[in-house]
Amino acid sequence: MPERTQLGAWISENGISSIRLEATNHDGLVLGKYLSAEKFLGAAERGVQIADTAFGVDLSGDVALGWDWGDWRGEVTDITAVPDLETLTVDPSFPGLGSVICDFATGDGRPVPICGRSMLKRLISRLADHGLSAIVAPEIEFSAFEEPIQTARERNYRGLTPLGGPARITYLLSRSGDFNELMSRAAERLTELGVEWESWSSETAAGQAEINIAPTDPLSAADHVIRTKLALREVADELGHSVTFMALADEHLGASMHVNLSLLDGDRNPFFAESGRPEDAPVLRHWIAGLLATMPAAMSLFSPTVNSYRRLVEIAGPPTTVTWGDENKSTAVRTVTRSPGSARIEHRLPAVDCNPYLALSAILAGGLIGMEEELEPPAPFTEMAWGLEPDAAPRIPDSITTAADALEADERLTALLGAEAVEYWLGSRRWEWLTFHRSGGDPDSVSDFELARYFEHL
Amino acid sequence: MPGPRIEVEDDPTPLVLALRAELIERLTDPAFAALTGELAGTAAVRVAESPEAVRFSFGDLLTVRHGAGGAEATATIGGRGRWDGLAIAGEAEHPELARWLRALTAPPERPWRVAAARFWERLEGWPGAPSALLVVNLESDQRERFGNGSRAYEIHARPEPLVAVLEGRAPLIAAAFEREIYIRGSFAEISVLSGAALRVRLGAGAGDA
Repeated sequence: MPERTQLGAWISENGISSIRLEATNHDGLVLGKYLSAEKFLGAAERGVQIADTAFGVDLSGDVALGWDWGDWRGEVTDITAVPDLETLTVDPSFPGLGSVICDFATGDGRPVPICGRSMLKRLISRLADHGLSAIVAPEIEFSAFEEPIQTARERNYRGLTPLGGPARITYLLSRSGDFNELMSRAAERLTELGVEWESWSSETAAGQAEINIAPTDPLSAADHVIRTKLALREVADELGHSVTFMALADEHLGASMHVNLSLLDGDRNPFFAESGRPEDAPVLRHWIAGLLATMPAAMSLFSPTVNSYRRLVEIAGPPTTVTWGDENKSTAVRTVTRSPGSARIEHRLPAVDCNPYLALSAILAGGLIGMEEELEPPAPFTEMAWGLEPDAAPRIPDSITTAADALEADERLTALLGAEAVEYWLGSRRWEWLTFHRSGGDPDSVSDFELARYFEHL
Repeated sequence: MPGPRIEVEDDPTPLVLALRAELIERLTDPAFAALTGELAGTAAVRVAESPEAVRFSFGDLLTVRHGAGGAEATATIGGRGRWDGLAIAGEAEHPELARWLRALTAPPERPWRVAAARFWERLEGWPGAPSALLVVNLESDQRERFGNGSRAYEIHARPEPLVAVLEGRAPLIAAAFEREIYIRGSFAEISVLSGAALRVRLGAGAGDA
């Protein structure tokens, strides 16, 4: 990435005529502007003014109301999108276009409290205070359809044909060529954009795929999720198809964003014990305990929409209990600890429609709480953690409201995420709940309201 | 509280909360409480052109749940959260349920001063709330001021839209868009006032929404 002083040369060498600013608001919407190369040279220093409505309207574009916005918002005042030049890249699919990821700052230069990217940076820094760094590898599930997005809109996003045939088989290689073409082109595009990926495969639902982002630092991992979603939409559009990152677009299409995470203490992975047993790695134990202790509250950030919770079904969906287990994918936190190179946790709760900066912040905060308070986890769950009787294990909040209530009650997680941020988030989640019910959302089945609100933009 | 004990579903919808709050208030009327105590069966309230619906099952408990399935009588409410005046489905077979539904969803309009005082109770002291509120009845030019702050947030309107906004039955911002009410204050205060209106509408347990 070029230094600020070398930007002019970089623009010239790469034939850049415009730069796309990419900034993610609390809802996970990627917002931005296209700047001329000349304008960008100034913006790289000062940032670009954006109306505070970037955080003021909901996923349908309506003003979101009901809570104290904080002193950083005003009478539609300006905030600033500040480019992070570490993320500046050429976009070979669009000659002359560069792109850069931004943080949001208030008018007086502070990070916007509910800017997930700024929050994540702060938690990474806190982890560094312990002499640790995190390595994160997200898994992104999504669904692809034969029809272009224009047809999807005409049909209110219903009755679409799964790309690659009707088979509902994970890892299936015999999907039709259109599926493989989409994935191959998307993978190429990610490589061009500097998003390292490890693998992609067919997933459980018809038309569903998973792409695994290569392990990297948490900030880059979240940036890569954002760019992967954008790239997949753009490639699908080029090929005349459509994709969605809804958590549940119909009854067969639950989609998650599992997060693999390990730590580094210098060159050492503190999640590994020579015995191979997770219980023998103290840092891992504390992290697990912290993640479990904050899990009900963190669920609000892992599952931001009413639709996110629809995927919480036994056996066929994500874990439904506050549990952990070694090599146990039915638990919310799975440990994999056989070797120092791969010892990690897999957090299996985030929905793919989450804001990745906020979800990773919640995971880091939970782990930090466990480590700083030296919490100890319960015994690992060694059986299947789905289908249990009600009192066998604590249940994960199963609605946007109960998760918000859990977050509101969790003082420890609130302290680490920031009280202003949590207040803003809670207000926006309750607005999401209210709007769902008042605008045609149906509590009992995926509604046109959800499809119109979430299909294209999350 | 007179009348039967009310049981609400876990994780209630906004309409369940709103109608529970309405029900609790209506049950302070002995005639309504007596009518309620005599009923059996299931009645429902549905929002026009929306899946939003609530059903009331009468028995030892009065249970309130979302959805209208299985209801023997159903009233439809309109945009202002009141009975739309059209026929109540099932009225011929279940006139008592229909009478009860009408009483629940078409109560006497609350005086604007009372609505304003209730609204202020739900607004005062919340983060970001103005330190004073001035409510003006444009029909009579009467005004009520709440709070001791030097600068008051102002709401001016005729009584009907004024009460609908103060009771949370009509969104404040939509009423302002439509020029049914006039407001003076900050944009951010609209958010906080909208929260107060929702607390009035949804009653206890409605969180900060």
